[in-house]
Amino acid sequence: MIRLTLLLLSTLLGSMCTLEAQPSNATGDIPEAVVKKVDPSVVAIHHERATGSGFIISKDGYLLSNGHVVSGSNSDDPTEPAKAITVVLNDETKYSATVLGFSLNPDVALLKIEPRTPLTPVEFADVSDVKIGQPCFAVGTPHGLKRTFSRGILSNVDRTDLSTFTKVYQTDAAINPGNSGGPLFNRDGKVLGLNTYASRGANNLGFTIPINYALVMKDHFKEHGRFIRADWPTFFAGELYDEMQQALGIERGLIVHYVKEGTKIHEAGLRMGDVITHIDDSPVSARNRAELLEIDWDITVRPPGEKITFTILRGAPGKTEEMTIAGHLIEAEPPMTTSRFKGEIRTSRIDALGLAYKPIVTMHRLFYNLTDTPGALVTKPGAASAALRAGLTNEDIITEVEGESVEGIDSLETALLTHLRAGLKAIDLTISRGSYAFPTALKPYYRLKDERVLVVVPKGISEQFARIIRELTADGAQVTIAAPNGKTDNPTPDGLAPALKLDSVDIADVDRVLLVEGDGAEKLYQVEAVKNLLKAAGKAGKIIAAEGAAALAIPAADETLRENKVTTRRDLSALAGSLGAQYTGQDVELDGKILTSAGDGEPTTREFLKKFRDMR
Amino acid sequence: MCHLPPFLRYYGISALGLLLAGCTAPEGPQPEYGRAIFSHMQAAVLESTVSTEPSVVFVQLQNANTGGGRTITIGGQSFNTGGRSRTRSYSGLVLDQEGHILVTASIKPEDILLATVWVNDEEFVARVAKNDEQLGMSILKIDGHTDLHPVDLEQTGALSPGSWSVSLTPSGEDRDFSKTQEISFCAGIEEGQFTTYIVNGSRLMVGAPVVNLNGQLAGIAISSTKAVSAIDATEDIQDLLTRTIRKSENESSDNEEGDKGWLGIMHRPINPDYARKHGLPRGAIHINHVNSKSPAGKAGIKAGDLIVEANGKPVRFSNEQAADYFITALRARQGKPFRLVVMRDGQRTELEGTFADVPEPDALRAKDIGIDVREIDSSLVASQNLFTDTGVYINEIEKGSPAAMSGNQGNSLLERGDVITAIAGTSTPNLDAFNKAIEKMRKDAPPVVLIAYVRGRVSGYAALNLSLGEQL
Repeated sequence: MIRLTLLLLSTLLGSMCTLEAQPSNATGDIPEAVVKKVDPSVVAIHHERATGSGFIISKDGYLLSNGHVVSGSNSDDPTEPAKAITVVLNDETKYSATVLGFSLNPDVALLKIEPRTPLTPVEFADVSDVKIGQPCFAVGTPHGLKRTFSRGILSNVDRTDLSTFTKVYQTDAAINPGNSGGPLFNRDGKVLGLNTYASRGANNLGFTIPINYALVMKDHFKEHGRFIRADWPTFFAGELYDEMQQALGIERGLIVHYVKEGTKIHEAGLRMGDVITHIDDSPVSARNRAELLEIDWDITVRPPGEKITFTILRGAPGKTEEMTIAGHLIEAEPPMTTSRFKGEIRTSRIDALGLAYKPIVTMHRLFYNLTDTPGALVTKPGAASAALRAGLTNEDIITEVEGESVEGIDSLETALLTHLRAGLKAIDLTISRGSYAFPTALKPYYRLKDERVLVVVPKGISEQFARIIRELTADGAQVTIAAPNGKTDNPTPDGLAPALKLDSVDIADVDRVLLVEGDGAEKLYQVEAVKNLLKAAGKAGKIIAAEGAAALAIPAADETLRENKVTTRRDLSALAGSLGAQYTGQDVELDGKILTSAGDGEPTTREFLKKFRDMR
Repeated sequence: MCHLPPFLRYYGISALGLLLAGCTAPEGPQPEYGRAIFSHMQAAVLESTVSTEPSVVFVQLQNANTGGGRTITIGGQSFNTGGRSRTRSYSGLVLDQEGHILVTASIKPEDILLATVWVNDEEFVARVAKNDEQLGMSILKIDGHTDLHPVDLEQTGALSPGSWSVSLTPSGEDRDFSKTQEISFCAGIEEGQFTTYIVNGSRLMVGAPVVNLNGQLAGIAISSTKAVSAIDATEDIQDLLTRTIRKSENESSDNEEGDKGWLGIMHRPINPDYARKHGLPRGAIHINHVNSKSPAGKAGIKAGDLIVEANGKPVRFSNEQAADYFITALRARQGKPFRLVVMRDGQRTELEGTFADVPEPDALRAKDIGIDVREIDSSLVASQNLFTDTGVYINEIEKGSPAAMSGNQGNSLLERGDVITAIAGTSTPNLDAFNKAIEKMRKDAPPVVLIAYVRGRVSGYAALNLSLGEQL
């Protein structure tokens, strides 16, 4: 044993000596003063799903990080941030943080904490003259290891081949998972950019979003809560690379590849083959992707509505004419999902049918070669679902339901729900797929057919409420909505308003009771009518389900009901305990005829509804 | 090779009470305590997979980079439109000695560049013999192997909620073992197109068998947490296999009976639920597209028609099976007559015609650029979902040619499936014009040439450097 320790010690000493023996390199070390300066500005970020890094940009608690560090767990809504975010400062002080806005491409987020004492913000570098080879260092929380410094050089400052919205820097400073959102500093300890990710399976290939882009986005997040992109639909332009210059006989400008017919810019007169030489009287030219992305960025960050003028050259080489084309910028449609980025389009679904759908944006039509027909875009149907049985597949467009045309996802939902509520055995759909259209029928399984479900709402309904009613309806349940005093405080959409006062319910008319989350749900356990109902339901052997805070009412109602395991909102676990609940802390807890959940966010609601449907 | 079931390592002794409470009791003496229980369970788990294990193979698919997977450059950004990865892995089940392998996922032959099947350590190239989208199942075929162990679909069993099961997962060449078994349990049953078991405790590989502790095949995974009931699906699987074999027999008889004939339609079987609701034959064939110059077009068949009878035979079955039946009943041979009954606006209409030669589109190889192009007709527009018929269609880009070497980021500026609309300012609406434009280009011998093209809905330009690459 002693021998082994000695051996280890000598190995350690040996390796230390090797380090010592290396010639001191002026650019290699990070000066102590710089380390001291930047250390307090870098933070660790935690939430339910991930660990990342960030940095302080103001004394009063604004922070920058990556969008992907703060994005939530709802795969259907990529614009939803994570719920409970904790920021840990370098002195281990913890704060809960609010996401003021984030984007996944460019991968930037703005967070805010309310510090008790003023913080130490970073300084920003001037990135207009960054150079390949200049030393830099990264600070962050790789693999959860807080305050990790790693150093390197800028390996490339114009990386454009990673499908990113802007060019990015490449560095050989070690960047690992958890470094995301942390700063890359120059030698003076000023921020060059936000570290975003590293190439998996490669060594020393890290990527950094230049700080100038992040600072523009920060202003958008502060002002609008999101990144507003300007656009002029819809045309695509490309750079004049060497061969293109030769072929056109033009040295400077942008070549217009495509102009979508029927758009404002087509009406204004722009055509494929035109070469744009000026935007608003300033010359523009790109010889490569990096230059092209810069021009794209300059337009993207202008305010929608602003006037823009293009000067173009048109005609055969040597015989070109100059023209101007003018119009106004508009706000770009939300970006679609690509192989690398989740985009910003929300997917809606009716799980009871295995059907998921989303609004169609112009980019969908151009990428997937869809026709211009209105409708809703189908995404992958669920395994063994009604949607699969109907033969639906990715990128189908539903254009009609029972002969009525579908304008978008709202009209699709309304039409489907009407027919589901009527219990139609099979619902006709018209599908547009590629160049042709065909009819099919969606045959719902109605797995809750004839089940009488009493849905109890607190004084205010939640955003998820409509989804719950939609799922129950799609499964054929007979839904009755009741509230303790017969109404809710906030206005409820059609079909979602309570129809009953709770004390007028006869449990014999009910097969299942479902208490939903919402404003005031944490008080339901004190309401006598709720407790009486649950007591009676328990006695009669009915199925009882409750979401989040509403679940407290189950143990509160009755001694017998306390024998079942339950879960509830995490912040109410102590209260649950004091009510005598067998609290398990699961997201969804199913015990006998009692089903409870920890809240009403996705994917918990999805799981909760799935279990509810399968209960017998 | 079998490895110890992971539950023995993860859950240890404490899980055993639970385990025994939930499991179907295996036959034999019931051990009472500790190690004996442990060994007994281990043996039961190992025993359960003995009969199914030899039928499990590893399937790997390499996706073709077409359709949804193409790259479009917009503004400065290159987008890859496909959300799917380049390779997909499945578990497969050997169905017979002839090399038919079941995968419980829809595999479209046109999406696949290469399909590989590992039978233990041996690797085979496979083809997609049958894909049934409605069933969500496909059959792959491997050739030249005699030592296969077909799964016994007669010996299937059930799972009930709470009962234990074992899933078998094969793996490819990158592992030092070929199969793992993992303990799982049935957490629920869902009724739908098939009875489906919800399986918890291990992540299932699609296509992987799930056996119960009696050693019977109980389910086949269709997602990471769901397995379709084997009892419920057996009939459909056997039927799918029958149709696959029949299809290949038809294909080989095609060769014997002389040249295939051309009708000129794109079709798909009608959805049976739709058919039932509207009082249509369940096997009706929906016409998606008709080439106006084809025998079908001349006979008056229109897109949206439903074929209910072919050459006096009412179309039978439903879904893919109906489509197969229709093709067989059609007996398309050039010069032979056909007679079809279609439903149009609720009326039966009889239409007749004669099958023509399968058209061979004019094609051309432009070796200066390094592309093979073909004439565009309305069938190609429909089948490839083209947004223009004015131009020539790129069949292939020659490796190492100027066209292939044109990009600066490892990709070529032109792609298979692009439609070329102009060369050096001369428009190329058809093959003839294209040929002339190429001849003119040859005469002018420019160092670079500007090519205008349409890709899907989007147009673009490529400036090719003719001095790069090899002119073949």
